[in-house]
Amino acid sequence: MPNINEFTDRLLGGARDALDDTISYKAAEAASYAPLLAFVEIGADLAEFGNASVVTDTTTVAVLQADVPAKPNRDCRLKIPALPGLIFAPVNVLADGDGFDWKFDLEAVPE
Amino acid sequence: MSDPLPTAQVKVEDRIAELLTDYGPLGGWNILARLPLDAALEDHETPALIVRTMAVSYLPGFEPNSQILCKPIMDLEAVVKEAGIKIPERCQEGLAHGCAALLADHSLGGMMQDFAERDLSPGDGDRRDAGAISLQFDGEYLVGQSDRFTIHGQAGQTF
Repeated sequence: MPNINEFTDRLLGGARDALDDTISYKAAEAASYAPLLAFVEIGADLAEFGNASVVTDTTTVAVLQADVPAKPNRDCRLKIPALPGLIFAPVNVLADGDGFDWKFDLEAVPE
Repeated sequence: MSDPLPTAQVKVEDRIAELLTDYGPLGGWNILARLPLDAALEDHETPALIVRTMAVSYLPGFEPNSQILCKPIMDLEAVVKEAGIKIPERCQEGLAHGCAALLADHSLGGMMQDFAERDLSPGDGDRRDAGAISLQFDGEYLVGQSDRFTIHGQAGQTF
């Protein structure tokens, strides 16, 4: 009897190809950026401080573990077309999407 | 209806904001007093230093004709939003300039009996592109027994 897991790679790969955005990704030990399809969830939230608040960016990124086997860390770098002019490091990296994704927050870094 | 008459405490807030506004090294900062709490700052309004009264306690003097010593806790909050890095350091920089502007004269121009730092908060929920740190000050000023509008400052000056 067929099992849904047999279709997982086709399902996830198809969803990635149809839905994801192209970002530039540089693994920790890599010399240069390479294009990568990633699910970029642009978001914003109210950051409430003691006496004031600002609207702050809460964009998260998810990539398939099949595309990025090594768990992303602070030494990796990303450039996201929707957030131009900035270079990011992945932070708060967790396994998501039933263990098929790496999902993380972004921290802007000098380079 | 006419504008509200500024109370002694509002005058203290305004004096602090005025000193910060006039301080050259804070030229890039937006100095805000009596900021509404229900609306977020626009991006172009930061970096900002927000002046707010946290609390005031009163020490009545002896009757008759005595004065009341008002002891406000003032909060100066540095709020920075920039799509980049060094948010906590930028906040610290703003507060350090704020200290230099306010503590050069602990009477804030003859208005106060004393004005001094109290404590510094840790980074207040830093986000990727925004952060805030607040610094509290203890102040002391004198008002008349029944007059909450006039400050009796140094050397017989009134404000």
